[in-house]
Amino acid sequence: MALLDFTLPSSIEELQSVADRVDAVAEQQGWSQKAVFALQVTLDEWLSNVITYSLREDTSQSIRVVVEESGQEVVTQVEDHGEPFDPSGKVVPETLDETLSGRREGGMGLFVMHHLLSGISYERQDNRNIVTLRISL
Amino acid sequence: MELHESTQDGVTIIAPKGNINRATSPELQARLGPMVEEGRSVVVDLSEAATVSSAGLRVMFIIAKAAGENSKFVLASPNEMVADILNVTGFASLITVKDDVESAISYVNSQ
Repeated sequence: MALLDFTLPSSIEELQSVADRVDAVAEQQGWSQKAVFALQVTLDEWLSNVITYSLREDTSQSIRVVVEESGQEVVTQVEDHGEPFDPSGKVVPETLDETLSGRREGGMGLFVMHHLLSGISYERQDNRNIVTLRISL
Repeated sequence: MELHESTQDGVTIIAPKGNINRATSPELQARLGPMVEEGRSVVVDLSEAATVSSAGLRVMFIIAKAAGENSKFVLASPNEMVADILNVTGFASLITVKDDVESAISYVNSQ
């Protein structure tokens, strides 16, 4: 059974309640600070990306988040009906200059995600983006 | 995220508690921006900041840039994971980061 299974409207303001839900389940499961850090940050990066770019902050759209513990991993699945976008490919670390000039908006978030995750996969199914984030416990 | 403010040796210390993420980082920016514009020296005590995502890093950089020559802006006491993110993204080479608040205050006051 999933530890968390909820949908949120495509709005940046909703991200604080996501962080609160993750903190609560992390405490209940006794996950290490390192694993909680990776989950909080990668979810923030990916959901921000989906809300801003795939769904263009259209609050009538929703995003589903499912968090499970499987073996020695926290496995999180995020589904949205936005523009297709595959974050699983190799990320070329952007230069700080590119980040700060805004030329590659979102690029730093993807770089940080790849740094913290033990695995990331992507599927496009029935007009949905399904991204799976894996974090070692 | 909660923001705690205190003053020590003429330096303003802002201590965010919780998650500095895409939802909370605008509040941090709104709090720090006017301080550095007034020329105040500010230390951000990260000891209670559980997480900092790229949105938080971006805010710190914007503030550091706004501080420019007129005021001092220093980060202190990041946890191991936050320090790692500051290093891998290269932000640690752009913003002054000290291991603890005391050394951040000494650094600010020696400038």
